[in-house]
Amino acid sequence: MLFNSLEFMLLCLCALALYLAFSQLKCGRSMQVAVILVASIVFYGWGQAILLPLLLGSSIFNALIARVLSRQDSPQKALVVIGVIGNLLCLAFFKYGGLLATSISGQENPSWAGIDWGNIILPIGISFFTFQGISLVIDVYREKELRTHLAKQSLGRCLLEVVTYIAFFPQLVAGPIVKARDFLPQFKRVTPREIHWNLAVRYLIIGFFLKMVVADNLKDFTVYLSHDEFGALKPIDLLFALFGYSCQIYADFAGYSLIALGLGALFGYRFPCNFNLPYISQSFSEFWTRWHISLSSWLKEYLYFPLGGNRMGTWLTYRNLIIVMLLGGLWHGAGWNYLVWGGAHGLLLASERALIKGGFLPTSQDSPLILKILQGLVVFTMVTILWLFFILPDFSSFFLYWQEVISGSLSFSPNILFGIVLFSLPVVIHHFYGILKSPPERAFDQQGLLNYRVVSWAEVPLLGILLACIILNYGSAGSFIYFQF
Amino acid sequence: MILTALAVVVLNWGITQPLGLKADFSAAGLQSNFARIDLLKSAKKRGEDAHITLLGSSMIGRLLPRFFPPENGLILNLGMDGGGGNSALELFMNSGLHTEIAVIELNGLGYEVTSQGAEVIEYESSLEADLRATAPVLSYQYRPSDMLYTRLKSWNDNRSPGRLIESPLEDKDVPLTKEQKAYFKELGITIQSRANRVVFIEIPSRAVPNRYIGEYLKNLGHQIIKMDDFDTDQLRLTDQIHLNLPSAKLVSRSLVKQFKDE
Repeated sequence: MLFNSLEFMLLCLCALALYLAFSQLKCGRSMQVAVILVASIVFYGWGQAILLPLLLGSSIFNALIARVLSRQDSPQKALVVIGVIGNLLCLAFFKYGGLLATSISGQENPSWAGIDWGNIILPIGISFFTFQGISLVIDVYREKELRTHLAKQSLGRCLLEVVTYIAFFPQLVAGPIVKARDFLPQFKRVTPREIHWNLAVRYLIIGFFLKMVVADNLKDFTVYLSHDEFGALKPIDLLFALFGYSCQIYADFAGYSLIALGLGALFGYRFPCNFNLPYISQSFSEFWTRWHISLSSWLKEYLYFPLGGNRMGTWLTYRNLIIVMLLGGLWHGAGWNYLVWGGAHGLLLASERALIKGGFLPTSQDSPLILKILQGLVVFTMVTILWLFFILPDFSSFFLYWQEVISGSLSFSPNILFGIVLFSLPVVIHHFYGILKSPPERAFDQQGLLNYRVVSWAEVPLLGILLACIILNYGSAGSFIYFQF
Repeated sequence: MILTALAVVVLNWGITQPLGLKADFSAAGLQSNFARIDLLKSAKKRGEDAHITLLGSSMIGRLLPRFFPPENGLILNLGMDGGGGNSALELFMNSGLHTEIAVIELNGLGYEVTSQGAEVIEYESSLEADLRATAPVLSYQYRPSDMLYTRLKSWNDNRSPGRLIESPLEDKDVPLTKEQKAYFKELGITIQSRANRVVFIEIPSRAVPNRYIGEYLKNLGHQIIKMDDFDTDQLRLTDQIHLNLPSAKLVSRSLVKQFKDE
């Protein structure tokens, strides 16, 4: 079910009405959690009910492990290992089984052990809910407070809350990836007065604007890149289409994340910030603190640090960065293009670190303004070029793309140029507005969770204009790019 | 906030309606097609049959309804950008509408329905299209970005010299197979059930149709208007296949004159 669909709007309104009605009851907390869980099941099962057992099975598996761990005085590491391996196996089977089987066998549709490996269905959001499952078992193992929190509850309530944490519909299919220690303590009875309506509406409007007006309109111009015949485009069109795709993927994913934040706020929950004006980054390391923050932070905490982080010497730090980014790339999809994309980002991060360490590159804070701007342009250009691995139909098209760009004339198609410039403009303005306004970091607390603050009066007419743009100028509906991951 | 949003929507409507501003094109071809579907659905909703219905690809799509004299009644243009002629024919047949004259473009005839064409057919039956047909303020014709694009395109087409129609892009003249002949025969009969008069037209362009299709349809007794019937020296293209707007206006006027003379 898409956020920008009528069915979702109805589901959300019904769930919210019930949710608020239960706030007055004595057993309101459990009833409210149950409402969220049922809504999440309907949301996920809509049109693909066959995948529900997987989501529920995975959630219950993680909940049971968390429950057992929470009742142990000194939690067993073996149980955590089982939990992590269980989640990874689930992810590996559904997401990478096909790639592995086709790569090993050399066949397009290998069949082995009664499984047609080339046609395994990829469950929507599997990368997100398995990562939340891993976060749950590790956090419960590490954090005494969380164990106490879970141990105090009855088995039924513990299962209900943990399954809801993993399946909570606003963030189920495309994040933000919420860590268990940040989310589980938030379960409580929520009354209408405790809901920050202004903030929820603000995030919903900006999120829907980015998705429906910016991303959905840009999609009609950048779609040419995903077809085999993209070479028919003129060189300047190709460059503009790439720029447009960079803005589209941002608007699509940041829009989704903002809608998720808004929906979470409607039900009284806080999610971590997922985007913080990534295209103003002056270094690749800064970019990864601003783009898909919940994934970067997850990878840092559960992969980079356990690998040794930057504490094991220069070369091992570079190795760790490249490993983390390679796996981060693979997380996006089972394909060599994603591996190359992740590897390229890993190499950029390692080279940048080496250059700064060698004194060849100043840190962003030390740079003069002009150099900061140049650094920002280099980072944006490189990041944008690497998005080609996300949209081009196949790996070899990357070279074909550049061949077309450098071999052609300076002519262009006015309609493509018009559409891309017009619909990319909000992304550019959004970044400038963000720089000029207050530092957006202030909107979030130390855990990266949303800080509630009142929407300023000056923003109200602006939000009204955005709402009017959604009504008057929304594009043809398209699914969210990150759903496929 | 809601008041501001409403004010903007009402203002948009209040300005565009009295001035007669609306979008003829969208920068994205798919949305140009959606705008045409909005008009088709809106006519269907009113139960208003068309005087002239133009069916085909983006080439006939340039013959805008406003280029035809308004006194005769509704002009529907179902020239599908990137959609080929078949999707337009399917959409018209499914609409249940009748037309006095059906003008069918020969250039894009006989091709399979493209993925874009399939998207348009899917849109036609969607709830969104029903909503847009019910509330014209939401119609694709009144999208601010498309109205802006239409103005810019008109300005550009009037200002720039355009390209002369040169030799055909490729030789596509292939004799028709038995199946193709059966298809075109059936097509003529089907369209005649919804139109008092059926005219096939070769739109002036470098993308010329397979001449065997025209010949076969002529043998079946259909009227064919060929590129030679127009004064092509006066016509200009924006690219290799599409007429610019002044030329599209000339072709439209020439069509109307021909219909009147007959």
